[in-house]
Amino acid sequence: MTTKVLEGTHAISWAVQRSRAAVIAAYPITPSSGVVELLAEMCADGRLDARFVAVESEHSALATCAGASQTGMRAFTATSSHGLLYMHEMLHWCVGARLPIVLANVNRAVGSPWNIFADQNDSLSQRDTGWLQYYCEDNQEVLDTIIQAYKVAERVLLPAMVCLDAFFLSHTSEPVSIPEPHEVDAYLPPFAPDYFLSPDEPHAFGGLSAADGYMELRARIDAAMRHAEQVAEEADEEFGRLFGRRHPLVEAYKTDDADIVLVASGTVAGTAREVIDARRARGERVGLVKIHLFRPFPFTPIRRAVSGAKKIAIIDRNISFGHGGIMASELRSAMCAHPLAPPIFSFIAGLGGRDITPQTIDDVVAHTIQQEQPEADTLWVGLKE
Amino acid sequence: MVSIKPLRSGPPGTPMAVSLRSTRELATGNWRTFRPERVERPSPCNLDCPAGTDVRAFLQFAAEGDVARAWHTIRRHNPFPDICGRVCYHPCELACNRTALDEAVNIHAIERAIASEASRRRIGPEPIAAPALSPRVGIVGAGPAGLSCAYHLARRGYPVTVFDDNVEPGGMLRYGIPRYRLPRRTLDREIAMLSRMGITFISGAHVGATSGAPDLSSYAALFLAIGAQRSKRSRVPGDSLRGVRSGLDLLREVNSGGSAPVFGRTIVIGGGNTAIDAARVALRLGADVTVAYRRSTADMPAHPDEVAQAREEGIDFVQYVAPMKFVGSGGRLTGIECQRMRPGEPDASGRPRPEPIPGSTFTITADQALTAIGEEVDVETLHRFALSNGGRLRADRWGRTSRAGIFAGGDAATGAGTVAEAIGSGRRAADAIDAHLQGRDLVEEGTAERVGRPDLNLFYFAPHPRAIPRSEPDPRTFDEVVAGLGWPQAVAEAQRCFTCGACTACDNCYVFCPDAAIVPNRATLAYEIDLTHCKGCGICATECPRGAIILRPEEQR
Repeated sequence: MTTKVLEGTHAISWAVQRSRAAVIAAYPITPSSGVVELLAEMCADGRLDARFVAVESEHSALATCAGASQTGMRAFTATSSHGLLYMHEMLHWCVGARLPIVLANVNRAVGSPWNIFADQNDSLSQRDTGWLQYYCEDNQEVLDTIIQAYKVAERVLLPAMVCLDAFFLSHTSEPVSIPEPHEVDAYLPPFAPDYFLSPDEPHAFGGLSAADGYMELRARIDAAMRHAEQVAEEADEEFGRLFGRRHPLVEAYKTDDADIVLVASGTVAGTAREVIDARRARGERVGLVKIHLFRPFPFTPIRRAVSGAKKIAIIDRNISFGHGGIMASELRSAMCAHPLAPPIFSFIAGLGGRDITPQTIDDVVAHTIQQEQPEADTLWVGLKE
Repeated sequence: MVSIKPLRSGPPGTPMAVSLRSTRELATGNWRTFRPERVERPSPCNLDCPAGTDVRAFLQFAAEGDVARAWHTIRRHNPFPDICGRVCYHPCELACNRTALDEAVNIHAIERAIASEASRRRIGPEPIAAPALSPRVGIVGAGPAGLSCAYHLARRGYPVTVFDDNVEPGGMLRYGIPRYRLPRRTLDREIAMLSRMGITFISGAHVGATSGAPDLSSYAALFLAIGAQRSKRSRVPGDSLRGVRSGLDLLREVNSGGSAPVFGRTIVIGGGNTAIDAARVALRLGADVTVAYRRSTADMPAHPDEVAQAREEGIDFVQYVAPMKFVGSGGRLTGIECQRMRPGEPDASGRPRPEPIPGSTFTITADQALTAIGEEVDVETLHRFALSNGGRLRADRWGRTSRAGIFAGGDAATGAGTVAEAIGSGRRAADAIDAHLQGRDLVEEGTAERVGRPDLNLFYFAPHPRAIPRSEPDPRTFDEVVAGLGWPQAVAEAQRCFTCGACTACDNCYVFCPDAAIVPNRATLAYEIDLTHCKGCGICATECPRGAIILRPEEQR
């Protein structure tokens, strides 16, 4: 185990290096560019034995990864915001073709207007493509999750997206432990799919499958996605055994006796811990639930984590216009059949990189404590008058 | 009733849509309307090499660093790579498709480097494989055409004798081209290799002489390559004044080791390569030199590189000036009366015909005048063989004259005036002589279409600047003016070659074929196309960087 002070982008690069990705194709976009810059260096200086493919667009980047993965190569790409959206068609394709590519998405706001700062709408708008989605709290979690993502993706034959907040993680340096290559090798076996493209034994992939077969293929994807939750749970357990670090799919922090449970994801969860600790120090029964795995949506662990709460507050750094916070809507769908059905306060905060400070979160908790019921389905935090 | 149930596990089947059996079973070839074909098409450099050299092949060997095979490849067509690498005006480079990307491959510099490296490594010529033959062949003229013919016949096993009226063989290579372009040791070394092949040289033999001419009756075939050794008379009044002479005379005298008195203000009249050579030689002998030409400098027939070098060395050029009269006093030149010209309508050469500007005569002061307005054939020799045709020997492309067994080539027959043309002419004549002596028909050269820029896929080539040897010519000496490339530089430069029209096993067709219908064999370059599966999409032809795959429509079914 080596410890380095790494930016989030480079934590990803090291994870990809340790995962022995064989093909990397990417197109640069802020704030993800650093990920592939370091990988390009590693390919050039021999630290990583991979083919680095410079392409002319994100669509081609993912298409290249798809081609590589189709031939049985472990593939990786990284992007952000508009780059991810440009991949949209290929995101769907990779799922249907069952290609376990890992993609690092540095969550960044979507234009217009231009904005390069943290916001989850880019990846959450890709929610229904069929990719696994992880959201990370710190750079260590980023590195560990990339390695885990390969393990899970290749088991269930679905691609996985590892998301991290722009700048708050991508460009912030933290001490990160990098497992040794042989340790990762022991955890992550070589990618060896049953079906792959080879001129030696050619098979046709993705050919026309009309109404007589398409629906079953879709059902298999849904089954694989649901199965992925258990696989991800096991992958994290094994990771914990080997490396001494866990990244629960849904983390319950001081929720056991909590009346108020705050739900958050990404770096907001990290900030929220401080608020929870401060209020706990004052004897308040508050807790935090962090959503780490968003797709497949871990219904059971979420329900379990919030089950004792009298009220739930959830902060979304994203917005589904005309509906509300996207994670809030997922949470509500998980809770609708809950016998106690605690009121859910849904807060929209921090869009386009606006700071979510401990004070912001404390105000959200205070608001939730004060109000019996939310005055509306969606509450906007800190809007200018 | 339709089943309605929750999803416990995926329905049975493969995770993705995939054919379980190999697609080899699908004979998709019958979808095809176009058929790709691997072809080897001539590259522009090969087609435009007057000597007929396989430029593409020798560049490939050079690119691999295989100097022996590169050198032997050149010498299959041309005995003089070291000479041609210096004095050939390299039409191959003008034809080079690489100009579509950046600059032509520096082919002549590579050729020279190959010869130099082969010599440095003491690589011997390919052994002559042919059995010794008996018919003797006589060759008249030891210039590049005669030497080339002699070489190719000797390679085929014929005993060859070369007659020349000069002291040493080489013709214009020795007596026309100045040393600063072609060092004598280079010339001597490559001619000595011909002697070592058993070719007999007889010097001082003037075939056209009325008395004392050698007896040629014992030769089964003759090749006449007497060159164009005479400078054309200027027909300008006053050309008998002292101080007026032909540029070719000056070159011959200097190249023979004579000390030509050249001094003061020297005007060279003409715009061809001889004019430039004479000008640069005069400059080296201490003269102050101006070249006067009746057309524009850009329309000079001299090679632009030579003109540029001459200019760099300090030679002045005046354009649109024609001499009217050499004027002098006491029998000695003092000036040239000239007429200013202007461009008129294009003439047969496509260049604007120079027209006099009325009333624009003027006089240039001159101590010397060197005329260089073209060369012609020594007519006495023509008369002896009665083959004259408007001042040249009449012969076809193969050198065949109207008389069986007598062949003619080089400048005397073609009027082409370049070393490479002469070498090619000599080689074709050797083929024709061999066919004649063996009673065989000549095999005409192919007429395959050259690979053009639209046939290439330039995406696969990265720009890389042309290697240019460093030269610091000193115009006060006869030291060689153009430096050579070092061998590693030459190898790198050869790697710039696109190898137009020939497979290099780059694997693009194999990589891009969506039907896995390319069966590669990288060792033999035998990339077969599996027509049972090829759907005729044409991707292989499009992605072939060098035009070595073409698409032909299938015949209508």
